[in-house]
Amino acid sequence: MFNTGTPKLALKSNRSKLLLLMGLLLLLVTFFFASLLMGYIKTDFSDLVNTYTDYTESIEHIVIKTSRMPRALIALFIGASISVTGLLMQTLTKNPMASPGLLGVNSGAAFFMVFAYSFMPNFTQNYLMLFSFLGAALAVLLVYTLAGGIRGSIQTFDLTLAGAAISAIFISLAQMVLYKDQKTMEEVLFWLTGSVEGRSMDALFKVIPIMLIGWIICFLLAKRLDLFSMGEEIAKGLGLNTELLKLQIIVLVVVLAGASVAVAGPIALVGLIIPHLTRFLVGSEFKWAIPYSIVLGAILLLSADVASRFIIYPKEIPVGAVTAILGTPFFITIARKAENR
Amino acid sequence: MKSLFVARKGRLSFIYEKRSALIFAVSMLICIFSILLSLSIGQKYISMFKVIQILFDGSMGGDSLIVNTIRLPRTLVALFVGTSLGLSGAILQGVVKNPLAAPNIIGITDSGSVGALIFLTLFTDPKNNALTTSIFYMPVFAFAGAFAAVLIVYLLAYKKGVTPYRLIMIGIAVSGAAKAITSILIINGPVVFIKEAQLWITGTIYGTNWTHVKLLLPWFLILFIITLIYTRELNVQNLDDCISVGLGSSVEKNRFLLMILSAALASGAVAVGGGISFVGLIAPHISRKLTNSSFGNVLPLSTVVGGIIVVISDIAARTLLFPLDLPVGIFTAGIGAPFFVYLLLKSQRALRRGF
Repeated sequence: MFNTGTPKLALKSNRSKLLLLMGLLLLLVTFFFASLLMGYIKTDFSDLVNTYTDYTESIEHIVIKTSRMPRALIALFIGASISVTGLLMQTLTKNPMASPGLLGVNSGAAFFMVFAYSFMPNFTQNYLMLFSFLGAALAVLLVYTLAGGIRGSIQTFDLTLAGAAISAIFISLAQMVLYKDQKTMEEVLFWLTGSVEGRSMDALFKVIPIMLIGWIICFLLAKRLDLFSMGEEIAKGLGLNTELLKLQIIVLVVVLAGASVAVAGPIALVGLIIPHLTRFLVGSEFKWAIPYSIVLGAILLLSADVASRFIIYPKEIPVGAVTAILGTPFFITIARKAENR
Repeated sequence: MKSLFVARKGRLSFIYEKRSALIFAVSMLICIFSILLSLSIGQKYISMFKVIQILFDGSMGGDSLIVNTIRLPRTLVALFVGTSLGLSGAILQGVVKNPLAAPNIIGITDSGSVGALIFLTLFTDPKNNALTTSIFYMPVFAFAGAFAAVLIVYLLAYKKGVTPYRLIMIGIAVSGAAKAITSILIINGPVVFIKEAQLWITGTIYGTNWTHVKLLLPWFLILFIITLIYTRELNVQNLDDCISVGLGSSVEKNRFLLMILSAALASGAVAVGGGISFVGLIAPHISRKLTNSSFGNVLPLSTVVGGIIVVISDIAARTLLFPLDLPVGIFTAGIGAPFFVYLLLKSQRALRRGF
């Protein structure tokens, strides 16, 4: 698909792909339980079971129910959605460096959220989310136009720089708002780095349907995405309405990225790394790439979240900082490899 | 192209259009005017004539105290931070052959803030949140952080030489990691860090004094002169690599030198002024619009334009919401960001042509 060479490990047969997917699902479940049980307050498996069968107001039960369960679920869903967003963006731009963080989508959504949060404190979560979508959409539009996407295919270099510039603009604007509003600053500091902590179940339940619908639409588009990634001319020749598909991809990106940022803030590099890992494992056939991205993304964010509790123990750091630091070596490797534009 | 000044001697070579010289002279005048304006406006208004008198005749009582010990050092810091950033941006855009590059994209600002936060972490007394050493060492740490980042970026981007693409990509990666470290350090420290770090990251020259001027001025001047010597190489760098090599330029060596120059300039500015954004991005843009894209014209103009932007932003920052003294970075970003979008959307085609 890109000039990154054929992945060496790419599995060939459907059976081995399915087997590996099952294995990864098992890993996902393991990390999910790890996320529920590990942390500053020690809990074991019986606490977890009792929380949902025989709830007492003990500290372990409260922690599991109100803190760890939401954050584990959030990590799962957000990680999966960001990865799918990254996959879609890399397909749309035919560009191995595309991801919601690099292209300013995250910063756009984050700025609009900060703005709404600071100036319209009475807004409910639903409206805040709309702002997040708006910001994501604006950022996509700006970056895409700037990089010359309207005129045809986009060069990596232009796209990245346009993304960085637009991102810088939104971050500066957010800083302006936050400077004015110190109280908001202290509240959103964690969220601004990307964090799955301290959010209620409600916030998540509002976005889960949106995300699920997004994933399902992705699956439905899988065949067309396969065609599209063969090249626009070929896809057109084979009867694909590429303009419509592009629009569909953009809408999906905006919705999935917007919903993710609304809940967990801009989480770095997951959307860049996971699609590469996916292609490395199963190649670029979307029928497989989508589920793999979902599962791998969830695993990555769950494990990063567990790690975030122990790095400067007993304090916690935002999971976005963990993914940013862990992801940097990958980023550098990918960037060094993907130079042929 | 009718009327050119040509000055050649040894390694030095300047070709200067008369029109560009005129534009440069005008921008110099604007620059001087904005400096005088900055000296005369403030809590106490001092007329410009009086300011000039004070500057040339020395002591004039209370007013001269205000001008000489408060406003002049701050204005000069604003000026040299701006000139450094403007020049740094112009060099960097030439080296990576792309008009969207800026010193903060390759991680200079973010790593500088890591340096500044390391300083705060090391020297803050946890009991009363007071510093245990002089705040004047903070620029040293910030500078070390920023400069170290550039070396790391260059090193990581090296693969039988560096390419503009790898420089930018690795720069973005390093700056992302630096951002993460910054937020970890902020969260690890006491609550006051949020405010202090935020102020630093936004970019402020509040409370700068002659010490800062004495640090920044020689640094800027030396680097400026070296840059002028390398202007010719920068013009060559801007061509395709094959052509540059064909012209007999040692591309790799010069690219490294120019990048170090750009980084050194930006690091100096960042060390004193924090993350003042968009100056390094828009000053070269404005300059290219005003003259042509030859670096002999762009570099000095971009330097002056950068200075003007920061001086005027600083006037706005400390007077518009008086008595609040806002960080100047808010204004460079607030004016710079929309202006930049406007420039880009308007001249999308011209953008490519310029390079």
